Amino acid sequence: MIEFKNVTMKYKTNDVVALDNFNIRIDDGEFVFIVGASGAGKSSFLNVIMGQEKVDSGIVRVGTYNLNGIKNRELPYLRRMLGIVFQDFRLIPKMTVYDNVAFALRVIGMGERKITKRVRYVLKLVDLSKKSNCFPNQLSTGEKQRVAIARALVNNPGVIIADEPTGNLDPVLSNEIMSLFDKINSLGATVVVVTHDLELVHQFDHRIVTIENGKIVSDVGPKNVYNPDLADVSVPSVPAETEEIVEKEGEKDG
Amino acid sequence: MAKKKKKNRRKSSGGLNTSYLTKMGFKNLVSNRSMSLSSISVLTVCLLLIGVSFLLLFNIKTLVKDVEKQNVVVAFVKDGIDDAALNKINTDLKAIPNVTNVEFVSKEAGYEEQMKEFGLNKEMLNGVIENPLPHSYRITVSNIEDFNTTLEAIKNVDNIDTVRESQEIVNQISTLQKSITAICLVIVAVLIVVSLFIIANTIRITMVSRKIDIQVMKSVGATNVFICWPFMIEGIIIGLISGVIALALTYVFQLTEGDALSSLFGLFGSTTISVSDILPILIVGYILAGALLGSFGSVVSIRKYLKKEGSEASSIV
Repeated sequence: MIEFKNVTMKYKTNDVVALDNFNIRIDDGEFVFIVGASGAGKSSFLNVIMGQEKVDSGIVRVGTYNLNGIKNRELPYLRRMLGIVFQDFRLIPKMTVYDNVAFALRVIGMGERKITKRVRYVLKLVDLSKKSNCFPNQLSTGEKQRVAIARALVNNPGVIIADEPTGNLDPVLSNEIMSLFDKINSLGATVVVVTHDLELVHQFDHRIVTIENGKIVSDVGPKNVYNPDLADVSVPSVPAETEEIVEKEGEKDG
Repeated sequence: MAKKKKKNRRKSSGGLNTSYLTKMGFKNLVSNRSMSLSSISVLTVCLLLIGVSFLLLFNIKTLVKDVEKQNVVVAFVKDGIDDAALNKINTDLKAIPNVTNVEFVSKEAGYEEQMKEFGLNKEMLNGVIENPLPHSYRITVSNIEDFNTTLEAIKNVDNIDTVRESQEIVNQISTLQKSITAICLVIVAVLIVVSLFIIANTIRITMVSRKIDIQVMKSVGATNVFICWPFMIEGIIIGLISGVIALALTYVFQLTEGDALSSLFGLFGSTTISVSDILPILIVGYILAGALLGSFGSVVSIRKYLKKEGSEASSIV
């Protein structure tokens, strides 16, 4: 569960108010699109969830962590609960596809045999099994984004956070990537996608939260009409033991 | 809730895969080879200068010790004193701190020595000149730095008439030793700071290109130790390679410049310390200095990347 209560955040570097009395609650298993123009505060919202930015006031909870008083040494453990996908993929160029994905598991000290098993499964899920020995510069843009998604998924996080994941992709590839997120969500993971591509968003039936000037201006549930008070309403959630589901799928897969 | 948090932590905090991280350090070193080579060459020069300074320091210390060994004060006693008084002088002289040896020279033995020095036969002057020399003591002083105090103490012993010494040379050598020690220590200190600065800067430059790697590491939940490890390994290897090259170059320096130093030291009746004499100290010193400078330099340069998050981290150049 992700919860923001009366959150205000200002960037110290340029004094810009990024989040202004921001309230939202995202329950386990939900799929939420965060939309808005550039500079609206979408990425700031994600940065706060990832523990990259600290808020000036209000309460932020991500899973079992209260981010207001979180210590720097606890941040790695918070981030292991999250799978993060960036617009620019952030793949390590000197590593193969396999190593880029395995990296997220090596960080947590997992044994190599387990890593092999998990990486193979996730690469199959994103349809990149045949590219596991390629380097990022040998991949197409869509493939790079799928590697980034595989890396975000491999650790079985409860929450997948994607910051403009289709920003560098053409409409066909964007649709393909979004369908992949849909599939991941159907396995039980909470998915939060930040995008400004409204056309793409409307092709999927998910909750849409619109941000403007650091404030939520609309919060529309799936197949629902606009409801400004939805921020305080708990959306019925999919029972989410994501890890178990993904693990079981992985074991079946061998 | 707290229980769940603990469970999450336990599940995701496996042991540190040190062999993988060490391999990463080696790989980084190879893939950033031009920067690594420049770090190695600059650090080698610094370590070489540090090593040569120490070698020089060791040699000066040995030289001073050798001069100290030859440093004998001759104390003449008053004429006409009896054996009991002579014994008391002997005891008093030995009791002075900084005196290592006291040797009695009778007036006859002293006279004979003087004749020999002048190339004369004692018998030739028998009955012509009466032996003018009194009994004396040859006193060896251990520490040249306290020479003046020791000399005063010798002069103050009862029945000591006059004292002969080469205070000027002693003072000059003592001053020289102090100056050279101070200069060497300053050089070493400056070079250590310079080495740290250079290695930290080199790793910082390579780190700018690896900013994304660090951000990825952080985003997937890497701890600071995990992020630091490969950089530290890289720094240590750079330091070790520099240490080994500097050791070899110190040996070459001694082969080419050692003769000149030996001749200079020979003037004072001393011999030089060669690299092989202090090889174990040099090996340990170079390797330790290299590894410490390398790892410390890495930590210094990566520290700010670890501390900053988000917008603050992006603004680091």
